[in-house]
Amino acid sequence: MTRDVTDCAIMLGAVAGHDRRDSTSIDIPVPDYRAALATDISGLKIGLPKEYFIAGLDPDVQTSMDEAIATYRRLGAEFVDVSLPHTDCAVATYYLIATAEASSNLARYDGVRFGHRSAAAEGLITMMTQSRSEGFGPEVKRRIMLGTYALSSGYYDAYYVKAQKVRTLIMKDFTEAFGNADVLLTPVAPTPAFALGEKTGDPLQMYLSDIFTIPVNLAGTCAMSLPAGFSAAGLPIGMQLIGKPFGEETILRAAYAFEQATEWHTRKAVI
Amino acid sequence: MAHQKGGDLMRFQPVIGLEVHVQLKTDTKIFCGCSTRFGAEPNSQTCPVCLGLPGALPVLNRKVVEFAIKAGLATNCSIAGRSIFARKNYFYPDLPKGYQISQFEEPICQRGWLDIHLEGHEPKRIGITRIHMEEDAGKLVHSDTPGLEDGSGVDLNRACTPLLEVVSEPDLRSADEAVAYLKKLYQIVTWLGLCDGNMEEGSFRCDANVSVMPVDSDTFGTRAEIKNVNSFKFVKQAIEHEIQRQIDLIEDGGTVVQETRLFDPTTGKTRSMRGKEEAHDYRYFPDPDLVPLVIDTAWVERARSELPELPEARQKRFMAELGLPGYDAEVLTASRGIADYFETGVTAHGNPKAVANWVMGEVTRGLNDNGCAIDDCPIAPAQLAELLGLIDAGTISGKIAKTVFDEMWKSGKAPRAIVEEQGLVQVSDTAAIEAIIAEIIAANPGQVEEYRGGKEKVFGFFVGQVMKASRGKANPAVVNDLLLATLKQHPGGTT
Repeated sequence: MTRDVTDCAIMLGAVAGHDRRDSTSIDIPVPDYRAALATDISGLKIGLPKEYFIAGLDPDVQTSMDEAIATYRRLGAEFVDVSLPHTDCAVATYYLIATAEASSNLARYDGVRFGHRSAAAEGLITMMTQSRSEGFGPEVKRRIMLGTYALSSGYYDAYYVKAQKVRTLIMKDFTEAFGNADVLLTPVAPTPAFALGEKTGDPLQMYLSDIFTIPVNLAGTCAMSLPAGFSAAGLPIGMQLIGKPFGEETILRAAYAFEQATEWHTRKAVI
Repeated sequence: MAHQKGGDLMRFQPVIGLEVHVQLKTDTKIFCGCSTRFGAEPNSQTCPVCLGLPGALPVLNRKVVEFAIKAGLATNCSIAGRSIFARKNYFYPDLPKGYQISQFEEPICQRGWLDIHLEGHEPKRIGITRIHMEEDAGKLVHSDTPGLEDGSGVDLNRACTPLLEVVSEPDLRSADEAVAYLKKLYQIVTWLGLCDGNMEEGSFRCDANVSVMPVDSDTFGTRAEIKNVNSFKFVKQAIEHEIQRQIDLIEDGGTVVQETRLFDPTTGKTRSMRGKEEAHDYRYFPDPDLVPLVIDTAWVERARSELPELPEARQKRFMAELGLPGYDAEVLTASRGIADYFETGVTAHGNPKAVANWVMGEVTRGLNDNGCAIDDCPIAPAQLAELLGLIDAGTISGKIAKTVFDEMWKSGKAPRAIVEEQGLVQVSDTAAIEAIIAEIIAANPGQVEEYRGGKEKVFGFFVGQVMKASRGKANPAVVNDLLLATLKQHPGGTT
C-alpha cells in the first residue's frame, strides 16, 4: 500500500476513525500514528505462534523469518512461544463466512439497476440469470455458489453457523496469545510470491496460500505486512506483525524499528 | 357418498394465524435519512443506501426501535435486551440489494398477547409470537402508468421504509376472530401514533395462514398462506373463502397443499400463487453490516413511561369513573382522537353521559357527513360543552341545540352568539305559551274531541303543533304541563 512504514502511518491516520455511516465502526479517538514511530523497542515482547512455523514452510521463508528474529533480538526485543490452536480451521472458516457474505453482497448485480445487463434476455428471470452468468468471472461464480450453499436451508447450521462458532474460537486464540505478547511475528505466506495465474487451476491450493493472513481477518484484530527478504529466485518474502485490537501504534513502531535496521524495503524484485 | 357443496363447517374447525405488516410513521426511513412521505415523484426520495449502491451501508433509525419497543409493550411482549438484523435473500426488481434487511432468529419483541371481545362470547386471548423490524421493498409500476406504455418501472421511494411485522400464534378459530384481532391491533398502533393506519396506501396489511382440522382433532391441517390483504372486509372474505375451499377439497377426497395464495377482491376468491416446490429458500443470516441491537432496561422503561393510557384501560376508566355504559365507553375509545375529544368535553361540561351522547350522535354524524377525522372537527370540545350548558340552563331546547350545532359546524361561531343572533332562546314564559296553546286548541276542535273521547295519543299531536308554532323555541316541559292542564280543564274531560 505504501513504500515504507512512515507513509503507512500517515495514510492510516488519514483513513482511521469513526464513520457515522458505518454501524460497524467504533467511535474512539484516532492516535497520532506518526508520533508512535520510534526505533527503541527494547523490552517489546514478540510472540511466535508455533502453528505458523511448521515443517511445510518454504526454506527461504524460514530463513527470512530467522533473520528477522535475529534482527529484533539485536534491537532488544524478547521472544515468547505462543499458540493459536485453531489456525488449521481458519481457511475453511473463512471460505464459508466470506463466500456466504459475498453471495448476498453480490446479489445486487442482477442487471436491474447496475452492472452488466444481458442484451439477449427477454423475461425477468432470464435477464437476471443471463446478466449474472455473463457478468461474473469464474472465481466470483465459484464463491457465490459456495456461499449460497453454506446458507441454504438444511446446510446453514452445519456450515455457516458452525463456521461462526469456530470464528469465535479463533478470536479467543488471539486474546489468549496476547496475554503473553505485545505483537506476534509470522510469515505473510508459506511460500514466496507465486506467478500470476500459477494456481488458478487448483483453487484450494491457492486459498491455502492465505492461511497466515486469514485468521487475523476473522479475529478482527490489526496486522501489517512488510518486506523481510527475497527467495533464491529473487521473489519477495513478507513478514507479518499482528497487534492487539486497536494496537496499531505498537505494530507500526515494531515495523519502523525493523525497517530502520534493514534494507529490504529499498530493494525491488527482479521481474 | 356424494356430499353437498358448500358444506360441512360444523365438522371442521379452522385454524388461523396472522402476519401483519405495520408501516411506521417515522419521518425518515429505517436505514437512511430519506423521507418516508407517500405519493412523491418516483425515485425522488432515495439515496445510495436505499438504492442499494455498492459500498453504502445501513445505519439504524433510533425512532424505529423506539416505536417497536412501544408496540411490544402495548401488546404485552417481552423486549429483547439483544436482537439482531438478518438478511432475507431473494431476487426481485423492487428489491435493490437482492436482500431485505429484517429480523429472523432474535427479534426485538416476543411472547405477547391481545384480548379480543366478540359480541356474545367470552373475551379470548390471542398470542403474539413475535414482532420484528424490517425494511419495505420498492414498488413496481406497470404499463397502465403514463410514460410507461411498453414496460415496467421501479419506484424506490418506498424501499427502506420501516415496517413492523407482527406475527400471531395460530390461536384464531374464525374469520370474525381474525378481524377482531386485526382491529384491536390496528387500534393500538394508531392509538400509539406508530402508524397512520391508511390501509389503502398499504400502511397496515396482512398475510393470513389458514388451515382446517376435524373438530375433535388437535393436529393442525396443512396451511395455505394468503398474501397481502389490505382491508378488514377483504380479510374476512378471503379467510371465509379459503376455509370453505379447504373443507370442500377434503370432503371431495382431496388434500390441502402447502402454498401461497392470492386473494382477488373482484371475485372474492383465493387462487394459487406458488406451491411448496417454488417456495423461496431465503437463506437468512445475520447482516454483517449491522451490529447487534442492545436495548437496556432504562430505554424500555423510558418508552413505557411515554406510553399513553391504552384503549382498554381508558374504556374501563370511562365506565368506572365517568359512569358510562360499556357500549359508550367502547365507542368513545375507538380512536385516541375521539377519546381525547370526549374527555376534554367532559372536563369543560361535567356531565359525561350528555357529552357522550353528543359525541356519539351529532359529532360523529358531522364527521361522517363531511368525511373528516376527529382532529379536523370544526367544533372544539369546549364549544360543544358551551352548547350543552345552554341546554342545561334552559336557554335552548335539545332540539334547537341541534340546529345551533349545525350552524356552529358551518360558521365556526360560538353557540351563544348563534342563539342570540337567530333569536333561538327558549320560551319558558307561561303566558306566551298559554296564548299559543289557546290558538292551537281553537284551530283543532276535532282533535280536542278525540282526546277528550279517550284517545290520549292525540296529546302528542298538540305538543307538536305548539312546538311548531313556537318555531321550536317553546320549552317542551312547560308546554307539556300547560297543555295537559288546559285540556283537562275543559268540561267533559276524561279524567
